[in-house]
Amino acid sequence: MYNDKYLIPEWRTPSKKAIRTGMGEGLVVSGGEHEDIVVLTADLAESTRVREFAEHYPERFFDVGVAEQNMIGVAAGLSFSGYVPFASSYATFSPGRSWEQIRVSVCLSRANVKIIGSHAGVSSGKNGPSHQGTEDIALMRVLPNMVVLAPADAQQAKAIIEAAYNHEGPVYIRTTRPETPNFTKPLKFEIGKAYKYREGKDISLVACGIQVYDALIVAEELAKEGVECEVINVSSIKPLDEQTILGSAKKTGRVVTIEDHQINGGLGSVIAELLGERLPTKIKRIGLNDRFGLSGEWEDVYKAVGLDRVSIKQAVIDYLHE
Amino acid sequence: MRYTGSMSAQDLHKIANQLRGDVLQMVHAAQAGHVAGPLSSADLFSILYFGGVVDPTQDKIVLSCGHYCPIQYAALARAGYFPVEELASFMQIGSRLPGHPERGSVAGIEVSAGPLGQGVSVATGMALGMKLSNLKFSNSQIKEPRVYCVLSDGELQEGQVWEAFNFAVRRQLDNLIFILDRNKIQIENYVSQLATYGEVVGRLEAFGLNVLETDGNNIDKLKVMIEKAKTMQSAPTMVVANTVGGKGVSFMENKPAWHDQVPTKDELEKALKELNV
Repeated sequence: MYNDKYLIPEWRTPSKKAIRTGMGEGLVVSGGEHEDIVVLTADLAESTRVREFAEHYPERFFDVGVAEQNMIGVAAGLSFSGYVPFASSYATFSPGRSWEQIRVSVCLSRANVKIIGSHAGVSSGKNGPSHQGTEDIALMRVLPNMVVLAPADAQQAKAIIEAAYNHEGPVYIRTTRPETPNFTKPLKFEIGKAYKYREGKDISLVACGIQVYDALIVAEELAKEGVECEVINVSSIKPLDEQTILGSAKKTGRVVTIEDHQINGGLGSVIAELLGERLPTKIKRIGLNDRFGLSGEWEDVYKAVGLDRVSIKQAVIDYLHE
Repeated sequence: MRYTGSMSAQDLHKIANQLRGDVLQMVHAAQAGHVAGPLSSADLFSILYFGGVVDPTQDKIVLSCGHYCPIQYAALARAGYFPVEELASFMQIGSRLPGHPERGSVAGIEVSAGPLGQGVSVATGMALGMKLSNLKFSNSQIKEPRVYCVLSDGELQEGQVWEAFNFAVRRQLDNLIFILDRNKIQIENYVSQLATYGEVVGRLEAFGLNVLETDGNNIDKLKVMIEKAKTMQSAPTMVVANTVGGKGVSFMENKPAWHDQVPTKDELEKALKELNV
């Protein structure tokens, strides 16, 4: 029922590591293998976790200062000079502030630039809504030529760097701040693949980022109540593995999306658009519904916006009874 | 006509006027596009593509003020990058010459541009990449490649430009040469009426750039300044080229309305006569 091809045996009691930390480790590994990888940041080396790369490869690391728009342009220029730049900031600043630079200097030019948006979602917590990247998926997936990836744990984040390097063209990678379960096996990351972690016949839980593990736990709890959930990790938001989503929706007839992002334009929209066109299915979208986050300890913020496991479970039960 | 070989100032002046004529015919045919900037910078483009100052085998020319693209298309065509006849397709469906530059649409278009300021950062990144690659061959006798980036004075109102200057100076990118086509007009008005800079040169110097100022419509003077910029070290250099918007056509000169006005058939004929093309 659980897919042990993807999940570590001790997935119910995993160690914790931040997704941003896994990404930083991936940069050091891939940076060691590929001399054309360069890393940029806008005065956020430490908190976006590119510091370790900077220490290993100082000659290939560039801190542009607090200037996200210029960071993206410089990254595009470096790519035209033959390098593979990874440009890192908080998601709310880049792609937030640097969106038009990403649109024209990167996407229209098909520049081989990778953009890392850290502190995505309200899980970034205490700094409050101005620092919580809750629209980045929407901003990036609307752009032609852009690949959008949201790893579910540190292990996936580490592997995503190599996958992004091997993809010729723009890639956006979404990372998060808190220490969260590191529950998947170290596997090569496949762009365009949705990972099915649990088989079920009653309802499909489709999630990305931190919410994938929560979906697994909610599925475990609902199983005790006789509800068998399918759990799918959509870490590749664009391109989307349409067959896996459609196959699951056909089987269960009920789909719930879960994300730490605006449901308008985010994963909820991605799945609703697919099903609306190909397999009309009533869906429930869990996430931020046209509201900002708030400041606080991240678990408290999750409770306040309905992204804690208790709220998610209740929302799924309510949907089942609609 | 295609130009090769060593060009005298007189030749370059003639070419500049030919490029101006090309621009006006393109804009008239398309019934859209920009006029004042392409005309004010025609002498610069003549020097960059035909004056022997740029090494086309390794240097890059970046147009950041993308609305100037008719002049770059004309220069590329006259330099043999693509057939001159193709200039007539400017802005048409299926053309390789879109209304604003798209990287790679034809060889020699290095950046997608149009939203002002972006090309300045991209040029900075390209120059940084060249420096980085050159480090690997530091013992060889390879000449360092350069990036020439053309920007407009209205463009200086974009904050991104100053972000890029900060970074280029911090990284000591002396292989990066900016040329400011300072024609003093922008789409709505005179630059000085919309956003007063005080002294442009002083502001640029305060940011740490090497600044050289000259008459940008004087072939001899502008060419000398660009050659001088190549010798400057430790920081990027800005050549402030003072020009006249709509240069070369009496009734278009120094009039903001001609920023993006399309000449009538009558005006086109008059202009071509004045330009002697």
